[in-house]
Amino acid sequence: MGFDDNKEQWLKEFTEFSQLDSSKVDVPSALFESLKKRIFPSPWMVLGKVAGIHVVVGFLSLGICSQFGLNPFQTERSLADLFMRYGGHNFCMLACGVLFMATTYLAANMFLTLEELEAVRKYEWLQTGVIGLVSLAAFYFFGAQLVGTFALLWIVGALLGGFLSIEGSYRLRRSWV
Amino acid sequence: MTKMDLAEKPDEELMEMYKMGEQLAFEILFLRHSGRVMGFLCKRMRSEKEAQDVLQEAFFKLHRSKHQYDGTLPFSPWLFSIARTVWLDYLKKKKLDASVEHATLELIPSAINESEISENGLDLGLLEVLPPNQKQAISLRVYDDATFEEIASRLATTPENARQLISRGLKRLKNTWNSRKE
Repeated sequence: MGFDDNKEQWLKEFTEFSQLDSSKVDVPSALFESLKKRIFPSPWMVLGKVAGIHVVVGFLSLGICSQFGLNPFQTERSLADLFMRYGGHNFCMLACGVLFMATTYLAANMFLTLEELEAVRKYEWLQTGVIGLVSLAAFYFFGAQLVGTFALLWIVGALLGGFLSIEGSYRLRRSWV
Repeated sequence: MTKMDLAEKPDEELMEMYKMGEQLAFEILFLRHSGRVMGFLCKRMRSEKEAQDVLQEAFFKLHRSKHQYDGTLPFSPWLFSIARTVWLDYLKKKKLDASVEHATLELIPSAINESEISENGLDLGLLEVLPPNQKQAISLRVYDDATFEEIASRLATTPENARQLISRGLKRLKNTWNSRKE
């Protein structure tokens, strides 16, 4: 058996393939089930994975951009200060939301397969919204002062950051396949 | 749209629907063509298990390439080309694995001094210096003449990891032997 890859050989094999009687061939149903799991992973499983990544990456991101004044690493410089200085308070909240969510999905690329990213993309607004709201609740739990307009701007930023990072990652990775 | 409705559609239309995100269309295409792909592979491969692996990879590749499918062209030759490419890639990889396997086997005698080899083969005493998983991997390779795939399945790991276990084990044996000599 060689690796002959010429047209004639292809045609010969394709003719044989077309004339094959598939009724005599048994394809185990377990094979399709395992393929299905690979191609269409459960969105819940993927959400669990993303949530886990978000806990770690979100927490670490507080080191470079404190959210609602939360600065667990006591860093002297924060991107939040920069956003505040150049864009004002409203821009700062929006940009912090974008950064907080985008870092999660960008980091998630290292742990998610393309198919898992496809599952994320299917429910990107819902998933980003849920993660964003839970994050806000966590900030509140840890003592952040959430003011209506600012919290709203932050969640809009988080949704935007999530959408852009998911779409960007997906398109980039798909073009590599 | 139900499965029954989809089952009546031609392959090309199903593929277009799958590109738009209709998962059921993929299922119908798999049910319709997997037998033929499997039959083609079974004729060319020794084990049914290998043919099943390649079949799965072929449909996985079909999924990954779905956006490259041109709906104006017939589906069957496209699927065949994918299956054939996956099969040929598998053969090439297997050929490569076999050459690496052969090279590892050639390493064994040079790594272990002849005096350490008893009448029955490798002296088990020497293997005691190794961690259990390396010891088991080398024993399987030397005594049972097991392939990397077989070792991997016995040790519940990947063939790549099995190869690494053997390689690290041999290195350690060589070092042990050298230090004993000194």
